[in-house]
Amino acid sequence: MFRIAICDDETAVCGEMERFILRYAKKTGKEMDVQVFYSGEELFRVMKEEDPTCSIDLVFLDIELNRLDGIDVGKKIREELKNEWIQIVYISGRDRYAMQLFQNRPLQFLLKPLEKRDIITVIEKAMELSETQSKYFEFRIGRDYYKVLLSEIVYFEGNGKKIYLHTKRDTYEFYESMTLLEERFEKNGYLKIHKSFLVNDQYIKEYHPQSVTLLSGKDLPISQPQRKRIHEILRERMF
Amino acid sequence: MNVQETLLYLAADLFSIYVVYRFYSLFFEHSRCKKCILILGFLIYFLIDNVGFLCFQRPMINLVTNLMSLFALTFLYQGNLRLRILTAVLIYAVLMICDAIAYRILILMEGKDDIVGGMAANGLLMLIIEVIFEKYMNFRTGKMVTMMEFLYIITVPCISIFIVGVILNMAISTELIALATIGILIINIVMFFLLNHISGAYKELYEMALCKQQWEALSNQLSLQRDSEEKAAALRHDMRNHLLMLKRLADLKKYDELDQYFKEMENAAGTITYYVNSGNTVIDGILNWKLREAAQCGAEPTYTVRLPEKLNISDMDMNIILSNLLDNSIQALKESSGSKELAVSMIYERNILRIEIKNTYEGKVVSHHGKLITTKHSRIGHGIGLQSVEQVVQKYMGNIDLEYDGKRFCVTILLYLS
Repeated sequence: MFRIAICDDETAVCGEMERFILRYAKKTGKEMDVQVFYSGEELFRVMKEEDPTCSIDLVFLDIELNRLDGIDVGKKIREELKNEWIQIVYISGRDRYAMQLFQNRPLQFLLKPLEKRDIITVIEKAMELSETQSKYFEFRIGRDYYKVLLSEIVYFEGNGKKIYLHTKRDTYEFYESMTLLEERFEKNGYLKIHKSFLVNDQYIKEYHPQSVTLLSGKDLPISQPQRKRIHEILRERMF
Repeated sequence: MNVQETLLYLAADLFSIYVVYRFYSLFFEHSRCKKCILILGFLIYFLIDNVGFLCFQRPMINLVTNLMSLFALTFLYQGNLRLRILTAVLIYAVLMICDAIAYRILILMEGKDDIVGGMAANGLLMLIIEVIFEKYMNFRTGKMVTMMEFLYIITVPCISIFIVGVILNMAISTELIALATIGILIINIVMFFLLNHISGAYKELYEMALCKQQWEALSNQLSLQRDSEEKAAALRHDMRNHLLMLKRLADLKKYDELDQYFKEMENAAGTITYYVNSGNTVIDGILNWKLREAAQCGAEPTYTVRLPEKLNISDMDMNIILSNLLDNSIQALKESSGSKELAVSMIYERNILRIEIKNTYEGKVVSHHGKLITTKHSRIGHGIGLQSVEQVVQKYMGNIDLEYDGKRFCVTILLYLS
């Protein structure tokens, strides 16, 4: 069951989107559930108090809300609720935006009036990502087994066979082959930027010709042999 | 010469080679190999030069080997063939002239033949000239040298070399030889200053044409905005009457007429061909203008623009890229007879600006090694426009990719903005 939330102060927009998504769910046979919120405060309150395990997978969040605007809501979701896995799609009636919205790692940014095609693409992408994100990465340190949510991994750092797994809060040290990790993660939105660095694309704040900057502000280098490949990937991916 | 003199001579020569190396940096912006290989190359040149002199002592052979070595050295740098020939000939001319002057002046001053002193003075003189060039000229603006310019530039040093050769072989006093070669040196220097001035003027002309385009685009944008404001004002003004009418129709339950009335109101307000409104005036201006032009050619342009209000790229650079590429596209659309399509996409995400322009075309694409050469009908300059696009892309350390399949032509540019 894929849970979608729509948060927009224009009731007409919410209504139309809800109808469209439910029709789409019926047509494709996918199980989807839609919740509607007319304010950012309401969405946040429900997420915090009534749904702490956060069953919502994707939220269409209007930027121009009445009191708490979409960017603030996104920030609160990521930082106060520490929710890294919900997908945020920002929608806006003005065709320009502020750069801060990227700090909340949105999946996409769409302009109103929303094209049906874009809604479908974004839902499908979110579903694809959710598949992988509810999964865990399991590894062993000595005799202990650990598991970390895939969506919390910022990057892998390899040094010989020793791997450092960096999440937002911790770093784990274990033994694994970097190549194996690359094979597993490259299709899941991770980028191999260097023979020692495998980065979760969702945590990249900025791309530079020879490095990437993470949301935490840290810079990781893109090695010479990877540059051309990364460039190709970026070119294709930005639609 | 005894051992001591030979060593001094070689040391002085090494210094001259160093000055030659500095000359190369003036002409070429990038080298194709690491610095140590460059140094190796120049050392080899040093060896060839001196081995030639010490073994053969025949001027003609020396001239040939020297020129060839200088030319070979140019391949260690990035550039085209014309630039290479130019550099080799120019540097050789300077070398030769300075050598002639320095040597003769020294004879005049010391009253005797001083090979070592001559070499040292040669090096010094060359250094002075190189520093003058460095400070007052910017050779690299002329990186793309047209054939005509190339011929102009190369004629003077070639003939100078010839004349100096003749003078050196004439049986006249040393003072006269010195003066004559100094004169030729001055001619060469003056000519370079002149050429530099001209290529600077050329560049200014191009920039003016670019500004003019930008001005036209902005002016167009302003009139679009004024248009839309007037329509909105008219609608506002009549709003009260419209509302009364609508209420009346609703009260009388005349729903069909109500529908019709709504449609008319919509039409009144919405007939502006306002394509893009990203908040970025230059981008909006140019895109709206060019998209409308494309529409007038019979194409139905589609566009996707997702940009923040402030982009870390100068208006001028944006203008260069968009104007040149869109002019190309519109030209291709005018020349194609089948279906005309134009799709523009400008998306900014995480420090990358991606610009993609797709258009249908007919005929052959003029390109070379994956780089667009020029279209004959380029509005601004001859091929300068496209070269400027490349320069802008390089400035932001980005890439241009071209793809075409006989029907559609697609340019994708990625720029890193900070």
